[in-house]
Amino acid sequence: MNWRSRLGLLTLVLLAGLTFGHAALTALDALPECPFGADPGMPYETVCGQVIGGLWRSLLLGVTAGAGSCLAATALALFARRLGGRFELGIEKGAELFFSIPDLLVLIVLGFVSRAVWGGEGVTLPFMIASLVAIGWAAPTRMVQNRLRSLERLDFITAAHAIGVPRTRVLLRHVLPMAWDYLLAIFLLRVPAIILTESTISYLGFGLPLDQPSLGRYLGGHWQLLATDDWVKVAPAWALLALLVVAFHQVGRGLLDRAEEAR
Amino acid sequence: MSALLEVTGLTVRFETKRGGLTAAEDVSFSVPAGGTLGIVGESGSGKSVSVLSLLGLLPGAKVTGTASLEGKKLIGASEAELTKLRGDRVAMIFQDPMTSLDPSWRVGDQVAEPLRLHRGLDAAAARAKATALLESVGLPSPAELARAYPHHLSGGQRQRVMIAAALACEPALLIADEPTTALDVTVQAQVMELLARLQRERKMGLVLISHDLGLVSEVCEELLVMYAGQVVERGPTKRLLSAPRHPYVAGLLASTPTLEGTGRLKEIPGTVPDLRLPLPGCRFAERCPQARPECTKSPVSLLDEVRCLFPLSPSRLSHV
Ligand SMILES: Nc1ncnc2c1ncn2[C@@H]1O[C@H](COP(=O)(O)OP(=O)(O)O)[C@@H](O)[C@H]1O
Ligand SMILES: [Mg+2]
Repeated sequence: MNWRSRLGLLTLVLLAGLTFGHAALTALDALPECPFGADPGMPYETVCGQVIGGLWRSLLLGVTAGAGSCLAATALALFARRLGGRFELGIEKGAELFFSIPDLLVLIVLGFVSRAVWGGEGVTLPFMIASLVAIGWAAPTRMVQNRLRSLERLDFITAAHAIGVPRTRVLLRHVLPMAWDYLLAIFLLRVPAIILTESTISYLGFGLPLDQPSLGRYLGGHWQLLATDDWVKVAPAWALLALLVVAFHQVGRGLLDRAEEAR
Repeated sequence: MSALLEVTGLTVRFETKRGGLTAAEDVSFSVPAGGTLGIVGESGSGKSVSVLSLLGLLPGAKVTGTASLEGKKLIGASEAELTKLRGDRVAMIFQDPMTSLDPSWRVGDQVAEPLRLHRGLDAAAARAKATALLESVGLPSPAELARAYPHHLSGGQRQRVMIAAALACEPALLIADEPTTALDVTVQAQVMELLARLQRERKMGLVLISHDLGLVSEVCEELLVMYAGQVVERGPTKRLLSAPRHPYVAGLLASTPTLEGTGRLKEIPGTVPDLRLPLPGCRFAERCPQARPECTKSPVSLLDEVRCLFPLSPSRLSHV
């Protein structure tokens, strides 16, 4: 691992520590006073509480939606490689088509659907995660499919076929174990992409509600503060969002390079 | 009585982005039960393709012709039928033992896998049998070795593991594709000796592939020489070595070091033609010292076990 990945990993550990530490201190009722004061929109909430809550939600939805879309992608890619032929071509073309539809557009439509059906100011966290998985499977599916295809060309895979290992078992027991490093890398690269997409949509007001904000929603809810003396109330959220995205990206990038080198 | 392996008119075609390519054309041979056949030819002559296609191990290739193993047809058989045969009735070992074992599997588990798949042994029974197999291929402290991962083993040890896995279910036929090419010279001899001994003891059919005519002729009763995707000459090893009829085989013999080590080796000048280009006549004509204008006019067919319009020694004798 290079120093950028190490720094990224350290940053992620610190950010996770911040959210857990905040939760622990809240539970113990030992929270120190927030240096940034109260949330200007909701005087009974502190900026610290809102921003760290937002960090927690962004982290949670990034990781779960990232894991969900990578799992879906892996399952689809395995099916495609196992069944081959027209089925594989169908998944490939489907992913390509889906990939060309703008994510934000789909999320806006899904947001309207949610509001029409369940009402409320914004969408719920589980609904947001499901929506992000629904739009996020296409790119990793293509990547995993290509990865499996190239792993299947390795000599020991031919050797496994030659001693009569059935195709499904070859894929699950011989090919997949070789793909874990790569899968972990694309998962880690999905997370910041998802966090950014969600931040954008929530900033614009089509995502999470203001009383349960992600970092993006908090920033969107207070966008007018940026040009005032109260800019210190949004600066921490901007900083945390940038740190979160860059840190995930660096760690993912480092792992991807290593996985690529190992081949 | 039918042969163990019977191959007739095997043709293997690949469609690539840079055009189609016939890697093996009209290849025919047979191996009797317990018999040994050597397939010899330069790199790229279609040796591997000819055997991989029989077992359905060439995804993307168009394979035609007929082939049967113990009377069961191979070409056109379903994936399920082939999966049942592979590792059970017919097994294969490959050129590079460094890359042919799964790096994330313990050695013992890889030897045990065919036993679990084809014999339905449970984990403990398969493990015990695998250890015995590792011992039978001459590996030291097999119980310990079974728990090791491939990267702890030397090339020669890994090839022995490959052989143990291939022989686990006592196949009627073993196909060895350049089994010693990637090994050190001293290890090469040991592994060849092991293969020859196992073949004799188990009365197993053996197809041994190599670019090394000398090596193959020590083990095999019958030889098949390939050039640019075609069989150029076929016959008993003794006859082929003493009186080769195809100029290419004669050239190979002249460039093979003998035990006595006398005389300088003569390399055959020139290179193998590109199989993507149209090849109207004899494919060896360009490099053949005996070539005449007729040789490049029209395809030459395999007649009396030799694919040459002007074979070297008089072919009268072999006419029936
Ligand atoms: N999967 C493939 N796709 C396209 N061409 C192939 C493929 N496999 C082998 N070939 C071609 O077929 C020819 C014969 O290859 P091979 O049987 O491996 O030769 P040998 O084993 O005699 O060295 C070569 O020209 C090779 O480039
Ligand atoms: Mg080969």
